[in-house]
Amino acid sequence: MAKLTEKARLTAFLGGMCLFLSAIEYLLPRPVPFMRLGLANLPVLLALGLLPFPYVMLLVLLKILGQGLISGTLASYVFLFSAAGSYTSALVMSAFNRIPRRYMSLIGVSVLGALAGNLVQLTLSVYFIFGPSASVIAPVFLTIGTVSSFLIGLFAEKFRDGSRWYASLGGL
Amino acid sequence: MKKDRIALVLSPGIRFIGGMALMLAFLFSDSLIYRLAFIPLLLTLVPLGGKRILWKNYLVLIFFITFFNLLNPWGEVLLSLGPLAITKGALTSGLLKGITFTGLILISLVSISRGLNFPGRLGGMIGRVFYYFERIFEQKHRIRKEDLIGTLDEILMEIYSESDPD
Repeated sequence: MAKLTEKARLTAFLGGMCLFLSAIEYLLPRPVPFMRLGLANLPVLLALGLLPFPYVMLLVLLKILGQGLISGTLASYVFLFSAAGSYTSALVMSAFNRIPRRYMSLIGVSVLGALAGNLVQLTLSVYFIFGPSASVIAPVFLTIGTVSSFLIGLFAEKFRDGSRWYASLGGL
Repeated sequence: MKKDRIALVLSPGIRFIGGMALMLAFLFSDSLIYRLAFIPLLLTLVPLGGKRILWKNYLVLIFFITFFNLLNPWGEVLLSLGPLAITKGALTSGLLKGITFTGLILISLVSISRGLNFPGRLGGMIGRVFYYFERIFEQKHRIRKEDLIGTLDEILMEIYSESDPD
């Protein structure tokens, strides 16, 4: 393998974490097939404070490719849904992460990112799959997304504050 | 894990290209019967490729897609179930979307295999992602529920401090 810069190496490392968490999530039973907990968003949340914006976008690409490979959806609509939702979410999270920590925690960043990503996915599902009746599932979809993103944000916040590994990367 | 018999005759790259060609053929016509005709072939290829068919998931997926399409009735009324009118147009459209969605997932399962290398700089990075994934996966038994953050942190610290793989 060719040598990577430190930032590229960390991006690949976080990509490996995304893949690992995607695999864990794939094994968990889901009440409804199209609903995800979004565990793989955890490395993206952590990356916001470690990597420059273009690398965060690259990590999102690695995350959705990895999810597509693991769940077998790389050649399907799911992949496009995932890409649209993940990129929207990452853009919103990057924007809100610029607000100082005392006003905006990682929980807030995570919830706002998930809401934006889920809204884009709902809009796409209205136009391409379910039709206008997709609005019926909107409340459940958004509630699950909000609750799971709150929990992932909470974990990310605690991990960021307690992790020696995270602290060791501060000077990157 | 099931044995991957397709890998015995096709390299991962050729298999991926073949899968993409199959996808184009699948999407060639908008006819429900045409797309439905591909499903038995895909249901045969997926286990041959060493992958599991998640029957329940796919059936629930088709059911939900069709059901939500039925809520927006159009065309000839086939049956009335209380307030829900099952119309020919909505039923055909829902089934077509459900079958297309499931078919594409099955094609993806057939096309992607271990050892598939994507070319270029991004391809190299994807290789590194898989390396780190495998290293983290090897250590997953060390993760303890009662000290999730501490044990995970230890594993990440250990793997990240290893020298960069060549």
